[in-house]
Amino acid sequence: MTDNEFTDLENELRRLRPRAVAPRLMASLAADLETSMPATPERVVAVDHVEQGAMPIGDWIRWVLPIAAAFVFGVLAARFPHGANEATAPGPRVTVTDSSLEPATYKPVLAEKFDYGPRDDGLVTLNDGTTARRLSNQYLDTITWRNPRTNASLRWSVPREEIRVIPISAY
Amino acid sequence: MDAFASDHDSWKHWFQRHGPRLLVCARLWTRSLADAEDVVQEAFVRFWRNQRSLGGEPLALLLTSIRRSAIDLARREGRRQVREQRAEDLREGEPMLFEPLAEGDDRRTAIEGALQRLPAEQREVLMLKIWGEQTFEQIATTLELSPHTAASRYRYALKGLRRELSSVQCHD
Repeated sequence: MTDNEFTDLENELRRLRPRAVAPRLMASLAADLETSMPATPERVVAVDHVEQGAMPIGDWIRWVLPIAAAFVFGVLAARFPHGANEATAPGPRVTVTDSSLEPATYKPVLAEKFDYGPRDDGLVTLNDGTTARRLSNQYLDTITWRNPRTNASLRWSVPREEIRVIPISAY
Repeated sequence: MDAFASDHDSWKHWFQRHGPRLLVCARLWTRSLADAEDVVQEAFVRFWRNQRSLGGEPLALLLTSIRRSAIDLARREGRRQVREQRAEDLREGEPMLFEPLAEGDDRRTAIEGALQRLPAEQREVLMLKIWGEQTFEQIATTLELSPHTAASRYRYALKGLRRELSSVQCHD
């Protein structure tokens, strides 16, 4: 099978258009998104962190914070069962935070470059009328950040194209 | 994708444009169209609420998210084995994957049939490439394999599809 045959088949496949989204799915999404959706995202979180659980991060915080506070209160109550006065006295302040949600805690750990290989675009005519050969390389640069505390990671890929035009001289 | 941050209702426009592609790819990893719609909805709501400001390519992020949601769904319902035997999944009686062609529907039917007969690992690479419009690098990330393996499977898939379609033509 030649590359041309591949191209023909690919073009034929691309002509097939996936079926339109059913109205019931649009209605269901509208019900989900338009009832309590903020105008802009509330926070930036790492992709992998979000993917680890099916529950949205906002729901996690709403559930985890009260539970954590209740747990701390329970521990303190068990530790000082007779200290009614001490319980009301100023003591060490407990603050529950989730620093893994802060983008600043992510550190770049890996930078990769994927080279799709050189491509010869053939001869081109420059503005001054001279002939040149155009060569291009396509790359994908990928940077990975990791939160060392939670091991959550975030990967960012950026496509890049390098084009070289080499003048051709004939003698 | 800049419209994401400013337009409260832009999800409709974006989803009407890209939703069909997400659904056809989601169908790769789910047992029914209804399951595919469920995982697409779950992933898209999560994306829209929490992930759209991350940058990067939204379609790639969503496809990865959809695949993970589909795997979670299969685990929840004890369907892992079924999920890995995708050849049986595109069942008869379900709505077709693609819009009918204006010049006649036989060719579309033949292609959908040939796609079903491809090995699952080749079919998913082919569909992510053609209808998901993903690069091999993005496909590799989504499927957790190397870009070279993705490219190789894609080539095998095209060969297999050509063979299947030629076979159909011979029988016609």
